[in-house]
Amino acid sequence: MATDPADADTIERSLEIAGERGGDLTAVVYARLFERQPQMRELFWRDTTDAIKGEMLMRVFDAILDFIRERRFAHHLIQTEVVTHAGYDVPPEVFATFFGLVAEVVEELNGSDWSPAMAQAWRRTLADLDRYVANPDQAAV
Amino acid sequence: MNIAVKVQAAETAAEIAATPLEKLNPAKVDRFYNDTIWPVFERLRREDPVHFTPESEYGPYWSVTRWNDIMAVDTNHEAFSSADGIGLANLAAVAEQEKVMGERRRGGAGFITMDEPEHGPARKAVSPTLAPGNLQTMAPQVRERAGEILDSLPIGREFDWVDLVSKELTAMTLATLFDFPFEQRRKLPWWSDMIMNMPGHGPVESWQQKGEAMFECFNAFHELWNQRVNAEPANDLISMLAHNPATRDMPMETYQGNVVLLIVGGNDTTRNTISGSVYALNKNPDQYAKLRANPDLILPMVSETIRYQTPLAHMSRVATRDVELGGKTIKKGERVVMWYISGNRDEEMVERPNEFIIDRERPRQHMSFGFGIHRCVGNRVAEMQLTIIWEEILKRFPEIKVVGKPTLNWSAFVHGYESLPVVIPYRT
Repeated sequence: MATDPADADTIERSLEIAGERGGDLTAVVYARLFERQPQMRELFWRDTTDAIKGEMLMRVFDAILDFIRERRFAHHLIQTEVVTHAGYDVPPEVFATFFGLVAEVVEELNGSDWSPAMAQAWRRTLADLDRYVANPDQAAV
Repeated sequence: MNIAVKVQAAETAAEIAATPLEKLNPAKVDRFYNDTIWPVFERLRREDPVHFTPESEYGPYWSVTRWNDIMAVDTNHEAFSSADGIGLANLAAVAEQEKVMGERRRGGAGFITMDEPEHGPARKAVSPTLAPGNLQTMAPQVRERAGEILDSLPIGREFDWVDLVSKELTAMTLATLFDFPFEQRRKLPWWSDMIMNMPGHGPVESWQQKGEAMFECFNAFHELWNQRVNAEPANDLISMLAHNPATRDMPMETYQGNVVLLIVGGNDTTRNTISGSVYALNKNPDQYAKLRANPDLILPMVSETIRYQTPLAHMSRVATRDVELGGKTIKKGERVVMWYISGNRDEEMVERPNEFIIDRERPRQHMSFGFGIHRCVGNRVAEMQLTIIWEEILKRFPEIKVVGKPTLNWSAFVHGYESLPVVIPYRT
């Protein structure tokens, strides 16, 4: 099931606005993650410059952009990341919260520009993403 | 700017450009040995990014050379299986090895050559040892040992960096991870070299010698298994395999496959990146100066070296069904090679990819660890060792000077160094 092109345009626009207003979103996204999942903080003990967190977040954005367009690899990447993160003691239920958390930050940065269309596009896309997070078995999905 | 690569590329570019595409065999080993691979991959990315080689010393195979196509294969384990081996194997060498070893060893049997659902639990049995939490415990020991290695190096006299530093550091770390007898640690890189080389290359003189070395390696690890399985569970890799319900009853061939994976994976990749960092910084003195002036650049320099060196040039898979990729149809049963070394130089994904730039905007954007369920399980250990060794180097030596041409591996798989002559100058 591909993302509706209108939803894809809307999500891209919301990301552009967030990028323009928030700059590098690494600090705000991970601060929120650690606030809600404090046990995740110690996994990043080496990351004193935020380089690891920054690249992970960039990969999340790359995956979202591929997912809403061509879907060349993002859906499969998400499924495999659930598996590899479990190896780092990141349970699937924690992994599952990350896309929603990114969407929250994007919404806040959009402020008064956040539209009902954006809310709907993100809601549909998050539900679609969740399908892959919840079902890492590629043979089944 | 990497002058050596540019000159060699210019020398071979005409030859490469004149070769009919169907005759182009990107895995030709002498190009890796001579560091003349780059025009091949540049041409393939430009003209035929999903490329079929119908005849070669490896049999027929597909080459995938662009970042996004590699991602598509690497993350799709349902369509691309690892069960028949993850590297291109020279068919004549496999036949010779089978004669000596008396059995088929193509593919091995460790968790890297497993598909789901067997793969996940087997990988999970070892991943806690290599996860960030455990590395935090290991880091002080790695730092102490790295310091000991560096403090023992000769000053003002030529020596082989690969032998005295790269192999030694990885041997020490691997011995710690396995809780392997520390005084015998250098057997670990030696076994790795024996496993990965053919006669006439590395330390391998004959198939017989290679077979004996593998036999010795497996015997040593059987002994370790027997010790650990009868002892209380501990935090080393062998104990974890011996006590985890997912792996404790695995067939001995699977255990041997895991041993090979952990020795080679823990050895060749890290050690060749350590050597590669010294070589690349010497070829790019402006970058070396930047690093000396700002040690905060160690972390991005490590990532840039991992991209630039790409210590494992490829991984391969076999299609489980017909798959469309880049406008081509890969048939069920055909072998597909993902050239990470090419993806890491994909101009559409990495700006100025042929240059070694330690302060890139996205230094960690590389595919050297792979993606998907087989993404390198030891990637954090590798990064930790590389970071620590460079922190300790910069505390001690303003310069490590490469004083001769390195000898590269004879391999289209392990992209690294047999030797790298260096001198640490006296301080003035």
